[in-house]
Amino acid sequence: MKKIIGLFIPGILIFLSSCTKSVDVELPEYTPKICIDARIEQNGKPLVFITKNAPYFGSFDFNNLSNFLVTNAFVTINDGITIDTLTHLGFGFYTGNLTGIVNRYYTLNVVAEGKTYFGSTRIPPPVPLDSIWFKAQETLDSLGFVWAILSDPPGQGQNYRWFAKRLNKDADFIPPLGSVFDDKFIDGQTFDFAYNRGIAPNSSAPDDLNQERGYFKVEDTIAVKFTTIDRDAYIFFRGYETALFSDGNPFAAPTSIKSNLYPQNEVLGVFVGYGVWIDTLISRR
Amino acid sequence: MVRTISCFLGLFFSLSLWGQEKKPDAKKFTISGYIKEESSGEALLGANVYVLEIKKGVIANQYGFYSITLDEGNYTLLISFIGYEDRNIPIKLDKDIRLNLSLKDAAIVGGEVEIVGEKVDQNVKGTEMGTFNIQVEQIKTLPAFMGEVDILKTIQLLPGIQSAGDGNAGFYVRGGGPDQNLILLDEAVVYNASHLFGFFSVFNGDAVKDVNLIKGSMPAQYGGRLSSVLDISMKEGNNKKYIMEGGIGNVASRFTVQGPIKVDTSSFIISGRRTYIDVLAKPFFKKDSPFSGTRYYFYDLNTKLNYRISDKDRLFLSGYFGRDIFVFNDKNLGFKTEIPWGNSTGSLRWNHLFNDKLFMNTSLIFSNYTFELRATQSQFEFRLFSGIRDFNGKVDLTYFPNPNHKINFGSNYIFHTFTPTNATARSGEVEFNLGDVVKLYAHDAAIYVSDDWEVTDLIKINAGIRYSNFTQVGPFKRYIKDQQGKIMDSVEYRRGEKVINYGGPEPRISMRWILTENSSFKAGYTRNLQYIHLASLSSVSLPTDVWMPSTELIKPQIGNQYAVGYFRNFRKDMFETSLEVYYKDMKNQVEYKEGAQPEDNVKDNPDNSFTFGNGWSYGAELFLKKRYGKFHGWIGYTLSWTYREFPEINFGKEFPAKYDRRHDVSVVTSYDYNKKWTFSVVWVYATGNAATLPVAFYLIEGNMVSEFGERNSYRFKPYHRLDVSATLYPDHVKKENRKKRRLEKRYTKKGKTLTEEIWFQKKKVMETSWNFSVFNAYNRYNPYFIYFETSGSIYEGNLQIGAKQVSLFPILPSVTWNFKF
Repeated sequence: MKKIIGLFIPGILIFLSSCTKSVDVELPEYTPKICIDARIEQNGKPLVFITKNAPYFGSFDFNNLSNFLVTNAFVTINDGITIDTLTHLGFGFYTGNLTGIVNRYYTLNVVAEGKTYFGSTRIPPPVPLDSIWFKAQETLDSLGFVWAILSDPPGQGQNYRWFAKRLNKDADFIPPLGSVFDDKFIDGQTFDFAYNRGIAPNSSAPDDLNQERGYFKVEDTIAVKFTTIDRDAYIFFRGYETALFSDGNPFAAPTSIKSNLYPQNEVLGVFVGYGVWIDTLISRR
Repeated sequence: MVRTISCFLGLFFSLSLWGQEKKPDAKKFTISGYIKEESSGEALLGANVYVLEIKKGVIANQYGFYSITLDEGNYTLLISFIGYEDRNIPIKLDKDIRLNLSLKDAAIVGGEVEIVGEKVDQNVKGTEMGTFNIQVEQIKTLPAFMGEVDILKTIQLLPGIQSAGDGNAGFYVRGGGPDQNLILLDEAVVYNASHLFGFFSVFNGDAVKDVNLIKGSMPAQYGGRLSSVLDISMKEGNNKKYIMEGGIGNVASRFTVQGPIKVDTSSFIISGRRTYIDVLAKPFFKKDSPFSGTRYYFYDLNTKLNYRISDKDRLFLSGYFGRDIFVFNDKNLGFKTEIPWGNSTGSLRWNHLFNDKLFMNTSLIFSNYTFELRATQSQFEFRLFSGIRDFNGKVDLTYFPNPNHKINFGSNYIFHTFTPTNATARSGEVEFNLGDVVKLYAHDAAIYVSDDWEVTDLIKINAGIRYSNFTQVGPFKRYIKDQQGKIMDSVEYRRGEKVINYGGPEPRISMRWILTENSSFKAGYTRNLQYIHLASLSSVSLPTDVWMPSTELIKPQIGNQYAVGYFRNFRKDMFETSLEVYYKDMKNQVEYKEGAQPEDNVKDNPDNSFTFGNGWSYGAELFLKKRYGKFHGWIGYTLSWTYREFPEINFGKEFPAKYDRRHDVSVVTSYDYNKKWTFSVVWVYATGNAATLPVAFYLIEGNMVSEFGERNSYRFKPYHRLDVSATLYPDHVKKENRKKRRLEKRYTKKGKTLTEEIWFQKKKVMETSWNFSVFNAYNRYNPYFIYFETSGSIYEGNLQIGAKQVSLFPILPSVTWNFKF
């Protein structure tokens, strides 16, 4: 739905922009903040990536990139039973020993550069997809999307996130734009839907730049990770995807994405728990 | 405190009236009647009837009716109205007299005409502050944007009225939002007065007779909005002869027909306008472009009928219908969207004279605004729609007991039906359950009384009180939510059952104190309640903006405005100057919550998406006008601040409103070079709009996400622009007419007369004029919005972010040919 509204925006832009020129913009001052991208998956270990925000017009190269990675933070996760202290793997990534358990609450605590930040999440029970399959698009021979049937449990307020990975082609699971949705309109219903292939950030793979961009191909082996997340994490990712999608669109409201970490005005990012269901399919004609 | 003021005003009233009645017994008689324009029979609202002997006058109401009650005797009446020739009429008053008068257009008799005027020396003498009257015929000489003369664009050249910038619908008055302006067309509310994001207004200049703008002390007969009233009257239609006029421009054309159905008794006017699809779309789309089929066009139609039943009764029927349609086609994606939106209004009005002193107008009005978006992509179809519909009945009476008082009183009732954004969607055969279509209903009523009271020769007071009441009624379903935001339960209200009720008094008072013959001091206080709200999702006003009623969650907006002003005329009223200073506070302002999405409205109460706060604005407006002479025009300068404070926005810190505009300058000049040519130059300057821009970015899942700075903490570069125009009135005199003119000279007293006046002529002469305009003459790239383009990437270590500014209008010349016959 967002996609539809968003798609006509470029039209208006083309229609209306008669004169575009580069300008120097003096942006208001920015406040350096810590950004925490943290998650814990069912049956997985916690993974926390801590960085700092960077001024919009700053110059970047690999040399000063390390200025924005936070490598000396003190990170703990409390699952109500134990407190696990995470170790730094390198490049701002931290991991620990806890394993994600369904229905458990986790509290993240980060002390970085003298300040303390915290947030909590829960791993909701996963909801399996009834079936998944590949279907080529009508006009294309070997390219298409992955389809699925979902039966949403009635009344419980599920929030979903979809990931997919092509074995042997993708390093990790990739969420396409629009990967998060909730059950407001589909509560208790069984229905089918499809997703296109997400693009890894900064991908320079040929099939992300040519006509195969966004499509799965026949003979791909595709793993689908269908997850459930809690409400606050859903609100974060929904805002995050809206921001990515409407980047540059003047008709969108510039909003701050609502983080589930505290103190709210001083930290960026999210701590999300995923309930996980995975299945694999081989795409056939 | 408000109650105290209202009680005080009530007491004030009764004392003043009573005081006046206690005079020694003298026989009193009333002179009353209608004042019209001679050539067309159109009523002249606001004409001045002044009695020389007692140095008092009265102003005709919006139907041209006046009434003045005096002791028996001999008097001289001076009738005047801006742009028309004055008349002196000696009266022997020994019985009640019905005196209908007509005034001649001053242009015909060689007088100069103002563009924006007030009644003769009304600048100093009137109690209203911040009231402007706009002469529609004269704004046709101002530079026209794309060839279209525009009322909304003209009022934005006045101090205190700010345009929202190129391409933004709406205008802002003294720091108030675009929903705080009451826009009336023949008493029907127009909810979206703009075509295409504010490029053009919905008002066709050929169909409009009079435009009154009130930004200061709003009199008690108006209500429902905090900031201003734009009261537009349509022409009634020439009831003496047929006239056809129109114009062909490079972007739009218009055509108007008016004339009598029965001479001097009834008449009609029909006026239409349309843009050309091609002109707007073609430069942007080549034939083989995947975007071909994309187009935009608008049209509007104004119609009016009027019938003079008798000397005491008149009937008027007017209607407006307008549409904008935008179609976007992307064949590559198999995607098409169609977006129609527009207003339709209708009003039936009955003027009735009970007696010489009591005038009544009763109106039945219908107003409707709808917006729709239909999008299809292969098998997926989506439809979004919203709107507002009003059924309105009102009664307004004017009572002229004696020359010191003019009392207005009346009542107004509106039944609103709101359709906040509703959506339907289907994918192939599957219909998505987006909930039932939600409509909201409300009763909106008010009663008022006000008096224009000449307390002494120096002091005049306009005091009024309005009492308004608003009730939201069912059918309505209120969802009860838990802390997670999930819907637990709902409360259902039956049809007509009260959901919530609001109301309160709105005192209005303004005072004028004459200091010297040509200067005065004015002060005013008004309190306004506004029960309906326009919520805008984006930083740019769009037709998607949705009207909402006050509900259990949305309280009525409350505005208090305090203003003082000093008015001074120079050189026998040739120069008018004024300085007005105001302070306004606004409570219960509405904004969308941060992170709100359009789909939140679906299957939920839309008012859950809003958050509330307060606003305040203050400023000073300086105005200098030269009214007469070959060279005339005005300069307006406004210095103002407007701020908002919302607990849930910007972390509760106060922030400037989007249209907080520190400096706003307008210079409008016209030069009547000779009988053929008039030149006009307009220059505007404004501090840039405020915007929220990204100040930093951060990484989530390897993607760069923009982090925005404090709300409205960035200022665009100042906006300024020069427009020039030249209007040519060629002589279109054919050989036959030369003979006619020789005949005229024998039959008329003044030198130049319209040839149509000679009834024995068979051939009509067509009047034409050419308007050549250049909009944005020095081609300044005024910012419309700024976006950022990234190149390279963090991972490759060569990330570059550049800012790009998009401007809407480069230099735009246009030519319009106007005709009238």
